[in-house]
Amino acid sequence: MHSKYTGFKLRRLAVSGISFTFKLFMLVLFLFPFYWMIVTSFKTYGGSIVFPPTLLPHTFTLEAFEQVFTRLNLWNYLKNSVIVTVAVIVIQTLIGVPAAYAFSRYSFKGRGIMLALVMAAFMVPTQITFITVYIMMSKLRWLNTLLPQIVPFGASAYGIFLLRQAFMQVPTDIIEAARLDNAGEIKIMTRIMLPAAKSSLMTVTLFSFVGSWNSYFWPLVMSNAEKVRPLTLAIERLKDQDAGINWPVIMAGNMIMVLPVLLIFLLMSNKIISSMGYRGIK
Amino acid sequence: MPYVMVAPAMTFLLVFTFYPLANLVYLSFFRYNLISDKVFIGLTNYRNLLFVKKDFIQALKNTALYSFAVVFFTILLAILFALWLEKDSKINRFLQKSMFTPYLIAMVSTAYIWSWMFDVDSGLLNAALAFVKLSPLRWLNDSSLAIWCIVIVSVWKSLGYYLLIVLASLKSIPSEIIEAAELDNTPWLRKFFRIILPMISPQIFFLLITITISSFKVFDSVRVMTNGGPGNATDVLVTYIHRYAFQMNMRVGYASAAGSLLLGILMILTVFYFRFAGRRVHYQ
Amino acid sequence: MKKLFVVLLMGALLVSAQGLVFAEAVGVTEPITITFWHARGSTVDAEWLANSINKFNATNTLGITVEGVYQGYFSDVQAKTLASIAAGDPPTIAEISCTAIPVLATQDLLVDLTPYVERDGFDMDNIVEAVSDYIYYDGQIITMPYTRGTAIMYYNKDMYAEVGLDRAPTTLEELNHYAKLIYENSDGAVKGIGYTIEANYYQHYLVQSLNGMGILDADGSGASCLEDGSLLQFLTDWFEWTEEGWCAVPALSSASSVVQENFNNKSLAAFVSSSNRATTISNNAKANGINLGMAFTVGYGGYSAPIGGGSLGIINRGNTDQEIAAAWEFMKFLMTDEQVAGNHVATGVLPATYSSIETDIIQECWAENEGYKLSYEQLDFASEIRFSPYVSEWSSIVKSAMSQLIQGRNITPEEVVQNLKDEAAALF
Repeated sequence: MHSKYTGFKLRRLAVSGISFTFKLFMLVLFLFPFYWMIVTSFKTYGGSIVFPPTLLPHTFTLEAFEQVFTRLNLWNYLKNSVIVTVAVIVIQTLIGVPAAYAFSRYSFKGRGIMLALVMAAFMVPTQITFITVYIMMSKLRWLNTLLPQIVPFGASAYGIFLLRQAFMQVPTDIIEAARLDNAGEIKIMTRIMLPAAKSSLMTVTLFSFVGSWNSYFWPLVMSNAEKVRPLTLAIERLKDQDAGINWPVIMAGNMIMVLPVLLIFLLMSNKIISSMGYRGIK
Repeated sequence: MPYVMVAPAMTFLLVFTFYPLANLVYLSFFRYNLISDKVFIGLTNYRNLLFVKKDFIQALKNTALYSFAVVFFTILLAILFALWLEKDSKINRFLQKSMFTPYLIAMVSTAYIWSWMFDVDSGLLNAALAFVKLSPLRWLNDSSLAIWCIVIVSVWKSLGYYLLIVLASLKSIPSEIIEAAELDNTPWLRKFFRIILPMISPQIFFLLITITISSFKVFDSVRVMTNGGPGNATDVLVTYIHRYAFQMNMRVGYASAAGSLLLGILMILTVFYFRFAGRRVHYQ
Repeated sequence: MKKLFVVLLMGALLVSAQGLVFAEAVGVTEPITITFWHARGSTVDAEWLANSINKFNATNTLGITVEGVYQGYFSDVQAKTLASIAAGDPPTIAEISCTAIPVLATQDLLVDLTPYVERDGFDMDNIVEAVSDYIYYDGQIITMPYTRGTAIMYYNKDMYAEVGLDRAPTTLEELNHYAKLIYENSDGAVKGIGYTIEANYYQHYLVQSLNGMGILDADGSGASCLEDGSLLQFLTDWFEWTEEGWCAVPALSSASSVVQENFNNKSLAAFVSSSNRATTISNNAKANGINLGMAFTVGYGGYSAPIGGGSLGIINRGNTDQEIAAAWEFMKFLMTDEQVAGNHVATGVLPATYSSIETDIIQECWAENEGYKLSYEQLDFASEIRFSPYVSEWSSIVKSAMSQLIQGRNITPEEVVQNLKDEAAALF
C-alpha cells in the first residue's frame, strides 16, 4: 500500500517535472527571440557577426540606436503611425458602435442581408481589394496624404460583429426601462450598452490598434512619399544596400517599433488576456 | 432610426470592400496598366495565368502548402497546449502571456527577428546546430526549407492567440459534463473525442475559417524574409499579385485576374467548410 | 489605302503638334519646390547626394528647392514612379535605371529635353559616348547619365597571389582555374568567386561573351540565347561551378551586401559588383585589412563587361512647366564638372562627361587609385543591354529563373531554359 502510493507520487513528480521543463522550454522558445532582438541592438556590427554568437554584447554600445536616429527621420514615421492608429480607432468606434447597436436591437427590413454583408466583408482580405482602392485613392489625389491608410478602414466588419454579439447579451428589460425613462438612443448606447460591453469594446480597440500599428502591406502600397509612411516601412530603410546587413541597426529600429506595443501589453496584460480569451469569440 | 445607424458602416463596406471586389473581376478582363487605356481582352489574362505562364501555378501551390501547414499545425498545437495549460496556475498563466506576446507584434518585426536568427553565416540557429555538432542549414536560402521557415514563423506568431481562444472555449464547457465523464472513468482519449472536441467545435470551426483566410493572404513575412525566393519557391498569391500590379510595368489587369482567382478560391473554401465541416459542428 | 494614309498623316500631325506644345523651354520665374526620387541608399551615396542637394538649394538663384526622396532599389523607384504617374502625383525628376527608361520612354512619360539643351547650349558631345545610349529615344533627349556604372571584379590580391596569380585574370577560364585552386587549398573554407544575380547586368555580360548580345536580342524583341544554346551553356556552367563549391551561391536577400560581408571576413576571394559601389567596397576592405584589387570583368575567352546604372529623367505628366524647368536646372547642376567628378570620386559611379575627367578632382583620384580609372577604361569594351520595352520584364523573368536554378537548386538548367521559352512566348 505504502510503496504503491510512493510509486504513484514519484510518477506524478516525474510527469510534472517533465511538464515543468517543457514549459520552461516553451518560455524560451517564445521569449528568446525578443531577448535576441534586444541584445543584438546593443551590439556593435562586428560583435553581431562573430561566430558563434554571444548571448551578451561584448561591448555594450548605443551606436545602433544613434544610427537609427541619424539615418531616419524617426519622428516622422512615429507620428504617422500614431495618427493613423488613433484615427482608425476613433472612426471605427464612431461608426461601428451605432451599427452594432442597430443590428442587435432593431429588426428592420434588409437587416438580414446587411448582417450577411458584414460577415462577408469580414472574410474579404484587403490584399484583394487594394488594386481598386489604390485607383480610387489616386483619382482622389490622396496618395500623398495619410487618408488612404485611414479612410478605407472606417468600418470594421469584425468590430461590428463582435460588438453586436456583446450588445445582444444586455438584458432587454434594462433597455426597456431606460426607454420608459425617456432616455434617447444615444444615451442608451453610451450609458448602458457600452459599459456592458466594455471588454468586447476593449478587444475591438486592441485589434484595431494592433491591426493598424502593425500594418505593412497597406501602407506599402498606399504611400508614395516618405512623409506619409509609418514605422513598419521605416525599418526597410535601415538596410544599407551595400554595407552589409547591419543587424544591430535593424534590431534597434525594430525595438523602437515593438516597444510601445510591448509596454501596453505589459501594463494591461491581465485585462487583455482575459478579454481576449473570454470574449474573443462566442 | 436603425437605418441612420447602420448607413455609415454599410457605406464604408460597400465602397471599400464590395465595390473593389466587383471592380477587380471587371478589370481582370482587360489589359490595363493604369497609365494606358483599358483594352478588353476577354479571358486572355486567365489563360496566361493558368496555362501559359508557370509562375502563377507555382505561387498557388506554395500558398496551398503554406496554408495547409499553418492551419493544421496551429489548430493542432493550440488544442494540445490548451489541454496542457488548462489548469489555472502561475506558470501556466505566465506561459500563456508569453506565447501571446508575438501576436501583438508586427509581422514585419517578427520576420526581421527570425530572418536574423535564420541568417546562414552568423545566425543563431546555425550557431545552435554547430553547438550540437550538426552541419549548418541554409534555411531561407534553401528552396525546400524556406517555405517551412515561413510556416514556423507564422505558427510561432499566432499560436498564443488561438491558444487563448481554445482555452476560453474549454473553460466554457459546463463542469458537470466533465465531472460526469470523470465519474464514469471514461478513458482520456475518449473523453477528448466524445466530449471535449464536440463542445469546442464551434470555436475550432471559427479558427479553421479565420486561419485559412489569413494564410491565403500571407504577404508581410514572405516579403521581408525571402521576397518570394529562392527562385519562386516561396512566392505566394499576394506577393504575386503585388508584383504584377506594382512592379513589372504595373499589369493591373493581369494582377486583377490573379486576385479574382484568389477570391474564387477563398469563396470555394468557405462554402466547402460550411458544407462539410459546418455540419459536424456541435452548437451548444 | 488612301484613307489609311490620311489617317496616319493626321496622326503624325497630331503627334508633332503635341510635341510642339511640349517643346518649349521655359524659365523658372518664382520659388518652387520639386521632388527627386532616387535609389541612392548606401551611406556614401546618400551622403554625397545630400551634399549635392544642399549645395544646389543653397546656391541656385532661382529659388528652387529640391527635396530628395529615397525610394529603395531601382526596381522600387521604377514601380513607385509608374504608380505615381498613374495617380497623377509623380515626382518631377527621378533616377531611373536602364531597364526602366524604355518602359517610361515608350509610354511617352519623359520630358524631351531638346529645347532646354538647345536654349542653354548644353554640350551633348561632352557626354561620354559609352553611356549615351539611353539618352536618346525617338529623336528626343530623354535622360542624362547620373549614376551609370559598369561591373568591376573586386578581388583579394593576396589570396590570388598565393595560388599563383599575381595579376588580374584576363579570361573567365583563367579566373575559374584560380578560383578553384583557392577553394581547394583552403579545404573549402574560402570560395574563389561569387556573382549576385542581376540578369541584365552581371549575367548579361557573361552570356554576351558567348553569343555577342546577351540575354536580349539586338532588336530588343526576342531572346535567341534560348535557342542558340548560349544561355543553356552558361547556366549549366554556373550551376556546375556552384555545385563544385568554389563559386559562391548568392544569398537570397541583400545578396550584394552578403557577398561583401563574406569578402570582408575572408571567406570569399573575389566577386563581381558594380563600379558604383567602389568607394564603399574599398573603405570596407581597408577597414578589414584586405589587399583589394579592382579589375576588368572577364567573360568566356576574354574581357567582357556590362553597362548599367541610373539616369536622370523628368516626368512629363502631372508636372507644371515651372516644375519641369526647375528640374532641368537641377539636372544641369548635377551635370557640372564639379558634381560629376565629385560623384565619381565619392561613390564610384562612372564619370559621364569628358570635361569632368580633366578636372583635378578626378585626375588626383585616378593617380592614387587605379580602380576608379579602370572602371572608366573598361567602357572601351563594355556594352549595355538593348534599349527595349521588354527589358524590364524580361530581366526580372530571367532573374527569377536564375534564382530558381542557382539558389533554389531544385530544377535543371534544361528545365529553366524550357520555362524561359514559355515565358518568352507569353512576353514577346
